Amino acid sequence: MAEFLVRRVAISIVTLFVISLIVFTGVRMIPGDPARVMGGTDADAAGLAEIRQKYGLDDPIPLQYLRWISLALRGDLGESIRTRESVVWTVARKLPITIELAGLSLLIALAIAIPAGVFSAARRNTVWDLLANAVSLCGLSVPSFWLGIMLILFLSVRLHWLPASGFVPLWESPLANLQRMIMPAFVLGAGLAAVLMRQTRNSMIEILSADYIRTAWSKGLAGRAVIFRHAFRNGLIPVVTILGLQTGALMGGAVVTEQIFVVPGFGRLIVEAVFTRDYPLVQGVVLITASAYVFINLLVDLSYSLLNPRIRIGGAAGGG
Amino acid sequence: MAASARGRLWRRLWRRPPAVVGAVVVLFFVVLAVGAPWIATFDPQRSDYGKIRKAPTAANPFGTDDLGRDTFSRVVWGTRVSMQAGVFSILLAIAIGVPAGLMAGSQRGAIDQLIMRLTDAWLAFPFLILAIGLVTIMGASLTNATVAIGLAATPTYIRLTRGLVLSTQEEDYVQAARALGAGGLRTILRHILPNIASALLVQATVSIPAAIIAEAILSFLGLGVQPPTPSWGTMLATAQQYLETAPWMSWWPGLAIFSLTLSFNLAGDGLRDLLDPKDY
Repeated sequence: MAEFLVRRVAISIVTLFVISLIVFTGVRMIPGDPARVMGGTDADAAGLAEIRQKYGLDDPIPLQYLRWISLALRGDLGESIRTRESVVWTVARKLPITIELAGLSLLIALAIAIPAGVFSAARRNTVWDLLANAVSLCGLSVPSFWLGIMLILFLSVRLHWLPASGFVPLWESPLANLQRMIMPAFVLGAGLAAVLMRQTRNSMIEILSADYIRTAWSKGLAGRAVIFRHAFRNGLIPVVTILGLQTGALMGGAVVTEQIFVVPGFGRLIVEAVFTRDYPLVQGVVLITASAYVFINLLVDLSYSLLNPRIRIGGAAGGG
Repeated sequence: MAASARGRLWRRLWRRPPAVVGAVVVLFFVVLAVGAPWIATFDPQRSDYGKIRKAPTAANPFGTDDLGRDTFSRVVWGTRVSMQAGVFSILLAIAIGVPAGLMAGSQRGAIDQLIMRLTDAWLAFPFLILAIGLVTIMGASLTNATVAIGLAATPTYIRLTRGLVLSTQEEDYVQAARALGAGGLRTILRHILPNIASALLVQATVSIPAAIIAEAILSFLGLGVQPPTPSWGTMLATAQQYLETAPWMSWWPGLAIFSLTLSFNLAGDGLRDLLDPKDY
Protein backbone atom coordinates (compact mmCIF):
# COMPACT_ATOMS: atom_id res chain seq x y z
CA MET A 1 0.00 0.00 0.00
CA ALA A 2 2.69 2.49 1.05
CA GLU A 3 4.70 1.46 -1.97
CA PHE A 4 1.75 2.17 -4.24
CA LEU A 5 1.27 5.61 -2.70
CA VAL A 6 4.92 6.56 -3.03
CA ARG A 7 5.03 5.33 -6.61
CA ARG A 8 1.84 7.16 -7.54
CA VAL A 9 3.07 10.43 -5.99
CA ALA A 10 6.49 10.06 -7.63
CA ILE A 11 4.93 9.59 -11.08
CA SER A 12 2.77 12.68 -10.51
CA ILE A 13 5.83 14.76 -9.63
CA VAL A 14 7.65 13.58 -12.77
CA THR A 15 4.52 14.35 -14.82
CA LEU A 16 4.32 17.86 -13.34
CA PHE A 17 8.00 18.40 -14.16
CA VAL A 18 7.50 17.33 -17.80
CA ILE A 19 4.37 19.54 -18.02
CA SER A 20 6.41 22.54 -16.87
CA LEU A 21 9.06 21.71 -19.51
CA ILE A 22 6.42 21.53 -22.24
CA VAL A 23 4.83 24.83 -21.22
CA PHE A 24 8.22 26.54 -20.94
CA THR A 25 9.27 25.24 -24.37
CA GLY A 26 5.91 26.16 -25.88
CA VAL A 27 6.28 29.83 -24.99
CA ARG A 28 9.86 29.84 -26.34
CA MET A 29 8.50 28.57 -29.67
CA ILE A 30 6.44 31.70 -30.23
CA PRO A 31 8.35 33.58 -32.91
CA GLY A 32 10.04 36.82 -31.85
CA ASP A 33 11.98 38.24 -28.93
CA PRO A 34 10.92 36.38 -25.74
CA ALA A 35 11.01 39.64 -23.75
CA ARG A 36 8.54 41.15 -26.25
CA VAL A 37 6.41 37.99 -26.08
CA MET A 38 6.22 38.30 -22.28
CA GLY A 39 5.92 42.08 -22.18
CA GLY A 40 3.59 42.76 -25.09
CA THR A 41 3.98 45.01 -28.10
CA ASP A 42 3.48 48.22 -26.17
CA ALA A 43 6.10 47.53 -23.51
CA ASP A 44 8.79 50.22 -23.37
CA ALA A 45 12.55 49.65 -23.29
CA ALA A 46 12.65 49.83 -19.48
CA GLY A 47 9.83 47.27 -19.20
CA LEU A 48 11.58 44.91 -21.60
CA ALA A 49 14.86 45.29 -19.70
CA GLU A 50 13.04 44.47 -16.47
CA ILE A 51 11.53 41.29 -17.95
CA ARG A 52 14.90 40.33 -19.44
CA GLN A 53 16.50 40.71 -16.05
CA LYS A 54 13.72 38.98 -14.09
CA TYR A 55 13.73 35.86 -16.29
CA GLY A 56 17.46 36.06 -17.08
CA LEU A 57 16.74 35.95 -20.79
CA ASP A 58 20.43 36.42 -21.64
CA ASP A 59 21.39 33.30 -19.65
CA PRO A 60 21.60 29.77 -21.12
CA ILE A 61 18.21 28.07 -21.62
CA PRO A 62 18.47 25.54 -18.71
CA LEU A 63 19.24 28.40 -16.32
CA GLN A 64 16.28 30.33 -17.72
CA TYR A 65 14.05 27.34 -17.03
CA LEU A 66 15.29 27.08 -13.44
CA ARG A 67 14.64 30.76 -12.87
CA TRP A 68 11.15 30.51 -14.38
CA ILE A 69 10.15 27.36 -12.48
CA SER A 70 11.40 28.68 -9.14
CA LEU A 71 9.33 31.82 -9.66
CA ALA A 72 6.34 29.69 -10.69
CA LEU A 73 6.67 27.50 -7.60
CA ARG A 74 6.51 30.60 -5.46
CA GLY A 75 3.29 31.58 -7.24
CA ASP A 76 4.78 34.15 -9.60
CA LEU A 77 3.62 33.38 -13.13
CA GLY A 78 4.34 36.88 -14.40
CA GLU A 79 1.78 39.52 -15.19
CA SER A 80 -0.92 39.85 -17.79
CA ILE A 81 0.16 41.99 -20.74
CA ARG A 82 -3.27 43.55 -21.05
CA THR A 83 -4.14 44.40 -17.46
CA ARG A 84 -0.66 44.37 -15.86
CA GLU A 85 -2.19 42.33 -13.05
CA SER A 86 -0.45 39.23 -11.78
CA VAL A 87 -1.46 36.08 -13.68
CA VAL A 88 -2.10 34.13 -10.48
CA TRP A 89 -4.39 36.85 -9.14
CA THR A 90 -6.30 37.08 -12.43
CA VAL A 91 -6.83 33.33 -12.48
CA ALA A 92 -7.74 33.23 -8.78
CA ARG A 93 -10.50 35.78 -9.34
CA LYS A 94 -12.01 33.90 -12.30
CA LEU A 95 -11.64 30.41 -10.92
CA PRO A 96 -14.55 30.41 -8.38
CA ILE A 97 -17.00 31.13 -11.21
CA THR A 98 -15.78 28.17 -13.24
CA ILE A 99 -15.68 25.96 -10.14
CA GLU A 100 -19.31 26.82 -9.46
CA LEU A 101 -20.20 26.05 -13.08
CA ALA A 102 -18.26 22.76 -13.04
CA GLY A 103 -19.71 21.79 -9.64
CA LEU A 104 -23.26 22.41 -10.83
CA SER A 105 -22.72 20.49 -14.04
CA LEU A 106 -21.20 17.63 -12.07
CA LEU A 107 -24.30 17.53 -9.85
CA ILE A 108 -26.56 17.55 -12.90
CA ALA A 109 -24.50 14.84 -14.60
CA LEU A 110 -24.54 12.60 -11.52
CA ALA A 111 -28.25 13.19 -10.93
CA ILE A 112 -28.97 11.97 -14.47
CA ALA A 113 -26.29 9.34 -14.97
CA ILE A 114 -26.33 7.32 -11.75
CA PRO A 115 -30.10 6.58 -11.59
CA ALA A 116 -30.24 6.03 -15.36
CA GLY A 117 -27.20 3.74 -15.31
CA VAL A 118 -28.39 1.67 -12.33
CA PHE A 119 -31.91 1.44 -13.73
CA SER A 120 -30.74 0.45 -17.15
CA ALA A 121 -28.41 -2.23 -15.74
CA ALA A 122 -31.17 -3.62 -13.53
CA ARG A 123 -33.59 -3.70 -16.48
CA ARG A 124 -31.02 -4.89 -18.96
CA ASN A 125 -32.17 -5.45 -22.56
CA THR A 126 -35.61 -3.95 -22.03
CA VAL A 127 -37.08 -1.01 -23.92
CA TRP A 128 -36.01 1.28 -21.05
CA ASP A 129 -32.43 0.11 -21.28
CA LEU A 130 -32.46 0.67 -25.03
CA LEU A 131 -33.93 4.13 -24.60
CA ALA A 132 -31.40 5.11 -21.92
CA ASN A 133 -28.59 3.91 -24.18
CA ALA A 134 -29.92 5.83 -27.16
CA VAL A 135 -30.17 9.02 -25.10
CA SER A 136 -26.64 8.51 -23.79
CA LEU A 137 -25.28 7.96 -27.30
CA CYS A 138 -26.94 11.21 -28.39
CA GLY A 139 -25.41 12.93 -25.36
CA LEU A 140 -21.99 11.66 -26.41
CA SER A 141 -22.41 12.83 -29.99
CA VAL A 142 -24.08 16.19 -29.64
CA PRO A 143 -21.62 19.08 -29.88
CA SER A 144 -22.02 20.94 -26.58
CA PHE A 145 -21.90 24.37 -28.15
CA TRP A 146 -24.74 23.54 -30.49
CA LEU A 147 -26.76 22.13 -27.61
CA GLY A 148 -26.13 25.43 -25.83
CA ILE A 149 -27.26 27.50 -28.80
CA MET A 150 -30.40 25.38 -29.21
CA LEU A 151 -31.26 25.77 -25.51
CA ILE A 152 -30.86 29.54 -25.80
CA LEU A 153 -33.03 29.49 -28.92
CA PHE A 154 -35.87 27.56 -27.27
CA LEU A 155 -35.71 28.44 -23.58
CA SER A 156 -34.65 32.08 -23.88
CA VAL A 157 -35.57 33.44 -27.31
CA ARG A 158 -38.83 31.50 -27.82
CA LEU A 159 -40.17 30.79 -24.35
CA HIS A 160 -38.47 33.57 -22.35
CA TRP A 161 -38.01 31.16 -19.45
CA LEU A 162 -34.37 31.82 -18.71
CA PRO A 163 -31.98 34.68 -19.45
CA ALA A 164 -29.79 33.84 -22.45
CA SER A 165 -26.52 35.06 -21.00
CA GLY A 166 -24.87 37.23 -18.41
CA PHE A 167 -23.65 36.57 -14.94
CA VAL A 168 -24.73 37.58 -11.44
CA PRO A 169 -22.36 36.71 -8.59
CA LEU A 170 -23.71 34.09 -6.20
CA TRP A 171 -23.41 36.39 -3.16
CA GLU A 172 -25.40 39.17 -4.83
CA SER A 173 -28.42 37.09 -5.69
CA PRO A 174 -28.33 33.29 -5.46
CA LEU A 175 -31.56 32.98 -7.46
CA ALA A 176 -30.46 35.21 -10.33
CA ASN A 177 -27.11 33.42 -10.30
CA LEU A 178 -28.78 30.02 -10.57
CA GLN A 179 -31.12 31.22 -13.34
CA ARG A 180 -28.11 32.17 -15.41
CA MET A 181 -25.95 29.18 -14.51
CA ILE A 182 -28.46 26.38 -14.97
CA MET A 183 -28.33 26.28 -18.79
CA PRO A 184 -24.53 26.41 -19.09
CA ALA A 185 -24.25 23.82 -16.31
CA PHE A 186 -26.66 21.50 -18.12
CA VAL A 187 -24.76 21.93 -21.40
CA LEU A 188 -21.44 21.22 -19.71
CA GLY A 189 -22.91 18.29 -17.78
CA ALA A 190 -24.69 16.59 -20.70
CA GLY A 191 -21.61 14.97 -22.24
CA LEU A 192 -20.33 13.96 -18.82
CA ALA A 193 -23.72 12.46 -17.95
CA ALA A 194 -23.55 10.31 -21.09
CA VAL A 195 -20.08 9.00 -20.28
CA LEU A 196 -20.95 8.36 -16.63
CA MET A 197 -24.20 6.65 -17.47
CA ARG A 198 -22.45 4.20 -19.78
CA GLN A 199 -19.81 3.51 -17.16
CA THR A 200 -22.37 3.08 -14.36
CA ARG A 201 -24.40 0.69 -16.49
CA ASN A 202 -21.39 -1.39 -17.49
CA SER A 203 -19.94 -1.70 -14.02
CA MET A 204 -23.36 -2.45 -12.50
CA ILE A 205 -23.92 -5.21 -15.05
CA GLU A 206 -20.52 -6.65 -14.21
CA ILE A 207 -21.15 -6.45 -10.47
CA LEU A 208 -24.67 -7.89 -10.72
CA SER A 209 -23.25 -11.05 -12.24
CA ALA A 210 -20.63 -11.44 -9.48
CA ASP A 211 -20.78 -14.35 -7.04
CA TYR A 212 -21.52 -12.36 -3.92
CA ILE A 213 -24.50 -10.75 -5.58
CA ARG A 214 -25.82 -14.13 -6.58
CA THR A 215 -25.41 -15.14 -2.93
CA ALA A 216 -27.39 -12.11 -1.85
CA TRP A 217 -30.19 -12.98 -4.27
CA SER A 218 -30.24 -16.58 -3.15
CA LYS A 219 -30.43 -15.51 0.50
CA GLY A 220 -33.80 -14.12 -0.54
CA LEU A 221 -32.93 -10.44 -0.21
CA ALA A 222 -35.26 -8.08 -2.00
CA GLY A 223 -34.17 -6.70 -5.36
CA ARG A 224 -33.79 -3.17 -4.16
CA ALA A 225 -31.63 -4.18 -1.19
CA VAL A 226 -29.30 -6.18 -3.41
CA ILE A 227 -28.94 -3.43 -5.95
CA PHE A 228 -28.41 -0.58 -3.51
CA ARG A 229 -26.71 -2.18 -0.50
CA HIS A 230 -24.45 -4.62 -2.31
CA ALA A 231 -23.97 -3.75 -5.95
CA PHE A 232 -24.24 0.02 -6.01
CA ARG A 233 -21.33 0.83 -3.70
CA ASN A 234 -18.86 -1.33 -5.54
CA GLY A 235 -20.25 -0.40 -8.92
CA LEU A 236 -19.42 3.22 -8.22
CA ILE A 237 -15.67 2.73 -7.90
CA PRO A 238 -14.86 2.76 -11.63
CA VAL A 239 -17.32 5.65 -11.98
CA VAL A 240 -15.22 7.71 -9.55
CA THR A 241 -12.09 6.95 -11.59
CA ILE A 242 -13.81 8.03 -14.80
CA LEU A 243 -14.97 11.16 -13.00
CA GLY A 244 -11.34 12.10 -12.27
CA LEU A 245 -10.30 11.49 -15.86
CA GLN A 246 -13.25 13.54 -17.10
CA THR A 247 -12.20 16.68 -15.18
CA GLY A 248 -10.01 17.53 -18.17
CA ALA A 249 -12.99 17.37 -20.51
CA LEU A 250 -14.92 19.48 -18.01
CA MET A 251 -12.22 22.16 -18.03
CA GLY A 252 -12.05 22.13 -21.82
CA GLY A 253 -15.83 22.19 -22.06
CA ALA A 254 -15.97 25.19 -19.75
CA VAL A 255 -14.06 27.19 -22.37
CA VAL A 256 -16.81 26.77 -24.95
CA THR A 257 -19.74 26.91 -22.56
CA GLU A 258 -18.57 30.14 -20.94
CA GLN A 259 -18.07 31.61 -24.39
CA ILE A 260 -21.65 30.82 -25.48
CA PHE A 261 -23.35 31.95 -22.28
CA VAL A 262 -20.96 34.85 -21.62
CA VAL A 263 -19.96 33.53 -18.19
CA PRO A 264 -16.91 35.52 -17.07
CA GLY A 265 -14.92 32.52 -15.78
CA PHE A 266 -11.65 30.79 -16.38
CA GLY A 267 -12.62 29.49 -19.83
CA ARG A 268 -13.55 32.90 -21.18
CA LEU A 269 -10.31 34.23 -19.73
CA ILE A 270 -8.21 31.85 -21.82
CA VAL A 271 -10.04 32.73 -25.06
CA GLU A 272 -9.63 36.45 -24.39
CA ALA A 273 -5.97 35.88 -23.56
CA VAL A 274 -5.42 34.04 -26.86
CA PHE A 275 -7.09 36.79 -28.88
CA THR A 276 -5.15 39.60 -27.21
CA ARG A 277 -1.89 37.62 -27.51
CA ASP A 278 -1.57 37.78 -23.74
CA TYR A 279 1.06 35.02 -23.71
CA PRO A 280 1.93 35.11 -19.97
CA LEU A 281 -1.76 34.66 -19.18
CA VAL A 282 -2.17 31.79 -21.69
CA GLN A 283 0.96 30.16 -20.29
CA GLY A 284 -0.28 30.52 -16.71
CA VAL A 285 -3.76 29.20 -17.47
CA VAL A 286 -2.44 26.18 -19.39
CA LEU A 287 0.09 25.38 -16.66
CA ILE A 288 -2.50 25.69 -13.89
CA THR A 289 -5.08 23.55 -15.75
CA ALA A 290 -2.66 20.71 -16.46
CA SER A 291 -1.32 20.75 -12.89
CA ALA A 292 -4.85 20.76 -11.50
CA TYR A 293 -5.66 17.74 -13.67
CA VAL A 294 -2.65 15.80 -12.37
CA PHE A 295 -3.48 16.77 -8.79
CA ILE A 296 -7.17 15.82 -9.06
CA ASN A 297 -6.35 12.44 -10.56
CA LEU A 298 -3.76 11.80 -7.89
CA LEU A 299 -6.44 12.49 -5.25
CA VAL A 300 -8.94 10.26 -7.05
CA ASP A 301 -6.46 7.39 -7.24
CA LEU A 302 -5.45 7.79 -3.61
CA SER A 303 -9.02 8.00 -2.30
CA TYR A 304 -10.00 5.05 -4.45
CA SER A 305 -7.27 2.82 -3.11
CA LEU A 306 -7.77 4.04 0.45
CA LEU A 307 -11.52 3.49 0.42
CA ASN A 308 -11.45 0.08 -1.10
CA PRO A 309 -8.15 -1.73 -1.13
CA ARG A 310 -9.55 -5.24 -1.32
CA ILE A 311 -12.46 -5.76 -3.65
CA ARG A 312 -11.17 -6.14 -7.15
CA ILE A 313 -13.99 -5.91 -9.61
CA GLY A 314 -12.35 -8.02 -12.27
CA GLY A 315 -11.67 -10.80 -9.77
CA ALA A 316 -15.19 -10.72 -8.38
CA ALA A 317 -16.79 -10.83 -11.82
CA GLY A 318 -14.50 -13.61 -12.93
CA GLY A 319 -15.73 -15.68 -10.02
CA GLY A 320 -12.29 -15.73 -8.39
CA MET B 1 -14.72 -20.84 -47.34
CA ALA B 2 -14.19 -17.24 -48.31
CA ALA B 3 -17.75 -16.95 -49.55
CA SER B 4 -19.22 -18.38 -46.37
CA ALA B 5 -16.98 -16.12 -44.29
CA ARG B 6 -18.29 -13.16 -46.26
CA GLY B 7 -21.84 -14.39 -45.76
CA ARG B 8 -21.25 -14.58 -42.04
CA LEU B 9 -19.87 -11.04 -42.05
CA TRP B 10 -23.01 -9.77 -43.79
CA ARG B 11 -25.27 -11.63 -41.39
CA ARG B 12 -23.39 -10.14 -38.45
CA LEU B 13 -23.73 -6.71 -40.00
CA TRP B 14 -27.45 -7.00 -40.63
CA ARG B 15 -28.03 -7.94 -37.04
CA ARG B 16 -26.90 -4.41 -36.17
CA PRO B 17 -29.15 -2.00 -38.05
CA PRO B 18 -27.88 1.08 -36.12
CA ALA B 19 -24.32 0.34 -37.24
CA VAL B 20 -25.42 -0.04 -40.86
CA VAL B 21 -27.39 3.21 -40.71
CA GLY B 22 -24.36 4.93 -39.14
CA ALA B 23 -22.04 3.68 -41.85
CA VAL B 24 -24.46 4.76 -44.59
CA VAL B 25 -24.75 8.27 -43.14
CA VAL B 26 -20.96 8.57 -42.81
CA LEU B 27 -20.69 7.53 -46.48
CA PHE B 28 -23.32 10.10 -47.37
CA PHE B 29 -21.18 12.81 -45.75
CA VAL B 30 -18.10 11.54 -47.59
CA VAL B 31 -20.05 11.94 -50.84
CA LEU B 32 -21.04 15.48 -49.80
CA ALA B 33 -17.42 16.34 -49.01
CA VAL B 34 -16.04 14.96 -52.27
CA GLY B 35 -18.92 16.15 -54.44
CA ALA B 36 -19.32 19.59 -52.85
CA PRO B 37 -18.68 21.54 -56.10
CA TRP B 38 -21.47 19.60 -57.87
CA ILE B 39 -23.92 19.25 -55.00
CA ALA B 40 -23.87 22.84 -53.72
CA THR B 41 -26.40 24.95 -55.60
CA PHE B 42 -24.65 28.29 -55.04
CA ASP B 43 -21.12 29.62 -54.59
CA PRO B 44 -20.74 29.30 -50.79
CA GLN B 45 -18.86 32.59 -50.58
CA ARG B 46 -20.99 34.73 -52.90
CA SER B 47 -23.06 37.35 -51.12
CA ASP B 48 -26.47 38.40 -52.40
CA TYR B 49 -27.46 41.56 -50.59
CA GLY B 50 -31.04 41.25 -51.82
CA LYS B 51 -31.43 38.00 -49.85
CA ILE B 52 -30.07 38.75 -46.40
CA ARG B 53 -31.27 36.36 -43.65
CA LYS B 54 -34.18 34.96 -45.65
CA ALA B 55 -36.11 32.00 -44.23
CA PRO B 56 -35.86 28.68 -46.13
CA THR B 57 -37.44 28.68 -49.62
CA ALA B 58 -37.35 26.28 -52.56
CA ALA B 59 -34.28 27.99 -54.01
CA ASN B 60 -32.52 28.25 -50.64
CA PRO B 61 -33.79 25.19 -48.76
CA PHE B 62 -31.78 26.02 -45.61
CA GLY B 63 -32.35 29.80 -45.87
CA THR B 64 -29.65 32.44 -46.27
CA ASP B 65 -27.19 33.98 -43.82
CA ASP B 66 -26.31 37.50 -42.66
CA LEU B 67 -24.47 38.21 -45.94
CA GLY B 68 -27.16 36.67 -48.16
CA ARG B 69 -25.16 33.49 -48.78
CA ASP B 70 -26.94 30.17 -49.33
CA THR B 71 -26.81 28.16 -46.06
CA PHE B 72 -27.32 24.83 -47.84
CA SER B 73 -24.28 25.35 -50.06
CA ARG B 74 -22.24 26.48 -47.07
CA VAL B 75 -23.22 23.39 -45.06
CA VAL B 76 -22.24 21.18 -48.02
CA TRP B 77 -18.84 22.86 -48.40
CA GLY B 78 -18.42 22.84 -44.63
CA THR B 79 -18.56 19.03 -44.78
CA ARG B 80 -15.31 19.09 -46.70
CA VAL B 81 -13.60 21.24 -44.05
CA SER B 82 -14.87 19.07 -41.20
CA MET B 83 -13.95 15.79 -42.87
CA GLN B 84 -10.52 17.11 -43.79
CA ALA B 85 -9.83 18.29 -40.25
CA GLY B 86 -11.22 15.12 -38.68
CA VAL B 87 -9.45 12.62 -40.91
CA PHE B 88 -6.10 14.38 -41.38
CA SER B 89 -5.67 15.23 -37.71
CA ILE B 90 -6.21 11.60 -36.72
CA LEU B 91 -3.91 10.40 -39.52
CA LEU B 92 -1.25 12.69 -38.02
CA ALA B 93 -1.93 11.30 -34.54
CA ILE B 94 -1.59 7.75 -35.90
CA ALA B 95 1.55 8.60 -37.88
CA ILE B 96 3.29 9.84 -34.71
CA GLY B 97 1.54 7.80 -32.06
CA VAL B 98 1.73 4.31 -33.53
CA PRO B 99 5.52 4.25 -34.22
CA ALA B 100 6.17 5.84 -30.81
CA GLY B 101 3.92 3.28 -29.12
CA LEU B 102 5.54 0.41 -31.03
CA MET B 103 8.95 1.67 -29.94
CA ALA B 104 7.92 2.10 -26.31
CA GLY B 105 6.26 -1.31 -26.18
CA SER B 106 9.00 -3.29 -27.91
CA GLN B 107 12.12 -1.57 -26.54
CA ARG B 108 11.06 -1.07 -22.92
CA GLY B 109 13.72 0.37 -20.59
CA ALA B 110 14.82 3.98 -20.83
CA ILE B 111 13.15 4.72 -24.18
CA ASP B 112 9.86 3.35 -22.88
CA GLN B 113 10.12 5.44 -19.71
CA LEU B 114 10.95 8.59 -21.66
CA ILE B 115 8.09 8.15 -24.13
CA MET B 116 5.56 7.23 -21.47
CA ARG B 117 6.42 10.08 -19.07
CA LEU B 118 6.09 12.52 -22.00
CA THR B 119 2.77 10.89 -22.87
CA ASP B 120 1.49 11.19 -19.28
CA ALA B 121 2.37 14.87 -19.21
CA TRP B 122 0.85 15.45 -22.65
CA LEU B 123 -2.36 13.71 -21.55
CA ALA B 124 -2.62 15.96 -18.50
CA PHE B 125 -3.42 18.94 -20.72
CA PRO B 126 -7.15 18.92 -21.37
CA PHE B 127 -7.57 18.07 -25.07
CA LEU B 128 -9.21 21.36 -26.00
CA ILE B 129 -6.95 23.55 -23.89
CA LEU B 130 -3.88 21.88 -25.40
CA ALA B 131 -5.27 22.47 -28.90
CA ILE B 132 -5.97 26.12 -28.00
CA GLY B 133 -2.43 26.50 -26.62
CA LEU B 134 -0.91 25.02 -29.78
CA VAL B 135 -3.02 27.24 -32.06
CA THR B 136 -1.84 30.23 -29.99
CA ILE B 137 1.75 29.32 -30.78
CA MET B 138 1.17 28.45 -34.44
CA GLY B 139 -1.54 30.96 -35.38
CA ALA B 140 -5.19 30.42 -36.30
CA SER B 141 -5.90 28.57 -39.56
CA LEU B 142 -7.47 25.32 -40.72
CA THR B 143 -4.08 23.65 -41.22
CA ASN B 144 -2.81 24.70 -37.81
CA ALA B 145 -6.04 23.67 -36.12
CA THR B 146 -5.75 20.26 -37.81
CA VAL B 147 -2.13 19.88 -36.67
CA ALA B 148 -3.03 21.03 -33.14
CA ILE B 149 -5.92 18.55 -32.87
CA GLY B 150 -3.69 15.79 -34.26
CA LEU B 151 -0.94 16.51 -31.74
CA ALA B 152 -3.48 16.69 -28.93
CA ALA B 153 -4.83 13.26 -29.95
CA THR B 154 -1.39 11.64 -30.32
CA PRO B 155 -0.83 10.39 -26.72
CA THR B 156 -4.00 8.29 -26.87
CA TYR B 157 -2.48 6.36 -29.78
CA ILE B 158 0.90 6.02 -28.06
CA ARG B 159 -0.75 4.52 -24.97
CA LEU B 160 -3.08 2.28 -26.93
CA THR B 161 -0.35 0.97 -29.25
CA ARG B 162 2.06 0.33 -26.38
CA GLY B 163 -0.58 -1.56 -24.42
CA LEU B 164 -1.48 -3.65 -27.46
CA VAL B 165 2.17 -4.42 -28.19
CA LEU B 166 2.75 -5.53 -24.61
CA SER B 167 -0.19 -7.94 -24.69
CA THR B 168 0.50 -9.18 -28.24
CA GLN B 169 4.15 -9.89 -27.48
CA GLU B 170 3.10 -12.59 -25.06
CA GLU B 171 1.09 -14.43 -27.72
CA ASP B 172 2.38 -17.76 -28.92
CA TYR B 173 2.66 -16.81 -32.57
CA VAL B 174 4.92 -13.86 -31.73
CA GLN B 175 7.04 -16.03 -29.46
CA ALA B 176 7.21 -18.60 -32.28
CA ALA B 177 8.33 -15.97 -34.80
CA ARG B 178 11.01 -14.86 -32.35
CA ALA B 179 12.13 -18.44 -31.77
CA LEU B 180 12.40 -18.95 -35.53
CA GLY B 181 14.90 -16.10 -35.57
CA ALA B 182 12.74 -13.20 -36.79
CA GLY B 183 14.39 -9.90 -35.85
CA GLY B 184 12.80 -7.18 -33.74
CA LEU B 185 11.68 -4.98 -36.61
CA ARG B 186 10.44 -7.91 -38.68
CA THR B 187 8.41 -9.23 -35.75
CA ILE B 188 6.86 -5.83 -35.20
CA LEU B 189 5.96 -5.15 -38.82
CA ARG B 190 4.92 -8.64 -39.91
CA HIS B 191 3.40 -10.11 -36.77
CA ILE B 192 2.47 -7.46 -34.22
CA LEU B 193 1.26 -4.55 -36.37
CA PRO B 194 -1.28 -6.53 -38.46
CA ASN B 195 -2.76 -7.94 -35.27
CA ILE B 196 -3.26 -4.63 -33.54
CA ALA B 197 -4.51 -2.80 -36.65
CA SER B 198 -8.17 -3.54 -35.97
CA ALA B 199 -8.01 -2.08 -32.46
CA LEU B 200 -6.38 1.05 -33.90
CA LEU B 201 -9.13 1.27 -36.52
CA VAL B 202 -11.82 1.10 -33.83
CA GLN B 203 -10.03 3.85 -31.90
CA ALA B 204 -9.99 5.96 -35.08
CA THR B 205 -13.78 5.73 -35.35
CA VAL B 206 -13.92 7.22 -31.84
CA SER B 207 -11.24 9.88 -32.43
CA ILE B 208 -12.42 11.17 -35.81
CA PRO B 209 -15.81 12.43 -34.55
CA ALA B 210 -14.04 13.91 -31.49
CA ALA B 211 -11.61 15.66 -33.85
CA ILE B 212 -14.50 16.93 -36.00
CA ILE B 213 -16.15 18.44 -32.92
CA ALA B 214 -12.80 19.89 -31.79
CA GLU B 215 -12.31 21.59 -35.17
CA ALA B 216 -15.85 22.98 -35.03
CA ILE B 217 -15.17 24.31 -31.53
CA LEU B 218 -11.86 25.92 -32.52
CA SER B 219 -13.52 27.52 -35.55
CA PHE B 220 -16.49 28.57 -33.38
CA LEU B 221 -14.05 30.33 -31.05
CA GLY B 222 -12.35 31.96 -34.05
CA LEU B 223 -9.19 29.86 -33.68
CA GLY B 224 -9.67 27.57 -36.68
CA VAL B 225 -11.07 28.19 -40.15
CA GLN B 226 -11.12 31.89 -40.96
CA PRO B 227 -14.01 33.59 -42.81
CA PRO B 228 -15.18 33.60 -45.54
CA THR B 229 -14.33 29.87 -45.87
CA PRO B 230 -17.49 28.00 -44.85
CA SER B 231 -17.12 25.76 -41.81
CA TRP B 232 -19.79 24.46 -39.45
CA GLY B 233 -18.10 26.03 -36.43
CA THR B 234 -17.79 29.54 -37.86
CA MET B 235 -21.34 29.32 -39.25
CA LEU B 236 -22.62 28.58 -35.74
CA ALA B 237 -20.60 31.44 -34.26
CA THR B 238 -22.30 33.84 -36.70
CA ALA B 239 -25.68 32.19 -36.24
CA GLN B 240 -25.59 32.79 -32.50
CA GLN B 241 -25.80 36.54 -33.14
CA TYR B 242 -29.04 36.16 -35.11
CA LEU B 243 -31.02 33.68 -33.01
CA GLU B 244 -34.02 36.00 -32.81
CA THR B 245 -34.23 36.98 -36.47
CA ALA B 246 -32.75 34.01 -38.33
CA PRO B 247 -32.91 30.84 -36.19
CA TRP B 248 -32.47 28.55 -39.24
CA MET B 249 -28.87 29.70 -39.50
CA SER B 250 -28.15 27.78 -36.29
CA TRP B 251 -30.12 24.60 -37.11
CA TRP B 252 -28.34 23.14 -40.08
CA PRO B 253 -24.62 23.38 -39.29
CA GLY B 254 -25.27 21.97 -35.80
CA LEU B 255 -27.53 19.24 -37.13
CA ALA B 256 -24.79 18.34 -39.62
CA ILE B 257 -22.14 17.99 -36.88
CA PHE B 258 -24.55 16.07 -34.66
CA SER B 259 -25.62 13.58 -37.33
CA LEU B 260 -22.05 13.05 -38.56
CA THR B 261 -20.61 12.39 -35.09
CA LEU B 262 -23.60 10.24 -34.08
CA SER B 263 -23.20 8.15 -37.23
CA PHE B 264 -19.48 7.73 -36.63
CA ASN B 265 -20.21 6.54 -33.10
CA LEU B 266 -22.88 4.10 -34.30
CA ALA B 267 -20.64 2.76 -37.05
CA GLY B 268 -17.73 2.55 -34.62
CA ASP B 269 -19.77 0.57 -32.09
CA GLY B 270 -20.75 -1.85 -34.85
CA LEU B 271 -17.18 -2.15 -36.08
CA ARG B 272 -15.97 -2.91 -32.56
CA ASP B 273 -18.51 -5.71 -32.20
CA LEU B 274 -17.61 -7.00 -35.63
CA LEU B 275 -13.87 -7.08 -35.01
CA ASP B 276 -14.08 -8.41 -31.48
CA PRO B 277 -13.06 -12.07 -31.80
CA LYS B 278 -14.69 -12.88 -28.45
CA ASP B 279 -18.01 -12.63 -30.22
CA TYR B 280 -17.42 -15.72 -32.36
